[in-house]
Amino acid sequence: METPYEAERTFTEVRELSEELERIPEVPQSLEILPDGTEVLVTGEPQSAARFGHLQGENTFGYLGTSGLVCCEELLRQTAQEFTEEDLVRYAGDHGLCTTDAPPEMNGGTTLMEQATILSDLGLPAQPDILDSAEDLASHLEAGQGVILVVNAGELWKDPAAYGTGEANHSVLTTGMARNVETGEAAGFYINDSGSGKTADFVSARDLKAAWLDCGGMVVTTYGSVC
Amino acid sequence: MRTSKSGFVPYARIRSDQSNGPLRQSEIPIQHALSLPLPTRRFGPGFALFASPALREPGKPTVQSPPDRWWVVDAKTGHLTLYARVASVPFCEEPFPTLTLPIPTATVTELRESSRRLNGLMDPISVAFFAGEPAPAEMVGDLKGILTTMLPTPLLQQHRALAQDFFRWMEWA
Repeated sequence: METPYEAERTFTEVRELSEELERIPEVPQSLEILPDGTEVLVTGEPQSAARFGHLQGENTFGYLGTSGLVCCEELLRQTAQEFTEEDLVRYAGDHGLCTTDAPPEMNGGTTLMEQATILSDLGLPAQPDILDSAEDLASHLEAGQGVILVVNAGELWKDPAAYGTGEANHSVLTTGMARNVETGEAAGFYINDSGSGKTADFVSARDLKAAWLDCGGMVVTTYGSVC
Repeated sequence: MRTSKSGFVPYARIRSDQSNGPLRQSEIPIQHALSLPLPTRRFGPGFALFASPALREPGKPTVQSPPDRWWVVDAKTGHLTLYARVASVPFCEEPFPTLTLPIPTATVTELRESSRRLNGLMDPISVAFFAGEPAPAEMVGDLKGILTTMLPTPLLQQHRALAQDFFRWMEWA
């Protein structure tokens, strides 16, 4: 027979779950038509997040290898924290969290762990991870989490000069995803790319597979929502 | 099980482990250029790699600093044998200059295909190299062709300095 205590505990658990569900933010969604005519459900606000995007290198240190730091800056600004690339370069440099011993134009590079540490230190807890599918990535974005992707720039830019040996060599920020309304499959993702300066750039799931998933599937994800 | 029938970790697995494994996540900046893993017997059967600071901009040649770190993984286990900063422990005596790399004549699709073929070729070739036996000349010729496609000449020289024993063996083989 259930004791009054157990009944109370169950009630408490239900109430806590209910409160937790209320705390889950609503991630903006909208119906859009892609240029090829495909109807998609877009999760996130890539056009809005585009205002945070910019070319890397906006710092007085002369550091140009700052794609990871710019992704961190953009994520922090999405959560209404006022940071500039200059702030991030200074913080990372002062705390040994980016390269500072190469020629200046090649400095500012970060490991996955350093990107996660910088975000966590500055109030946005994050962790490095490896995802194994576009659906995996989609689930993080649909939960409102911020996701930095580590890609091969040659694949992303269709530029053999940036291909190297085919390994991941550049960080970009995902700002949304598009799901095919008819099939339910991920049609593609929106990114801000500080290397090319493109913002709200739609990359098909197929192209992103070649540039990101086939190059290791590395990401930095925030624990909480950035919406 | 990580090893293949040969007793060595498959080359594709070595590459993927180095591309997104713990070392890459915590020690090698994402923006660094990674070398290809090359077989070496310098510390027993292993694969050696280096990484270099690099600057990439769309439509422009990549500019690459000399390697600033190198490491070796055990060919039988995939575990790290050695990791060193070049400033502390150089992997060769000759200094390398900063390079503005020529833009590859191959397309991204062709480079990707070369990379895929490399994974298939390196397994039998590295097994022969580790055993001190010759490999079929045609296979070695194919490997040289792939390396030439994937690596501009100045970078090929750095790879040669990293795994001198392997390149000497290829000439002999």
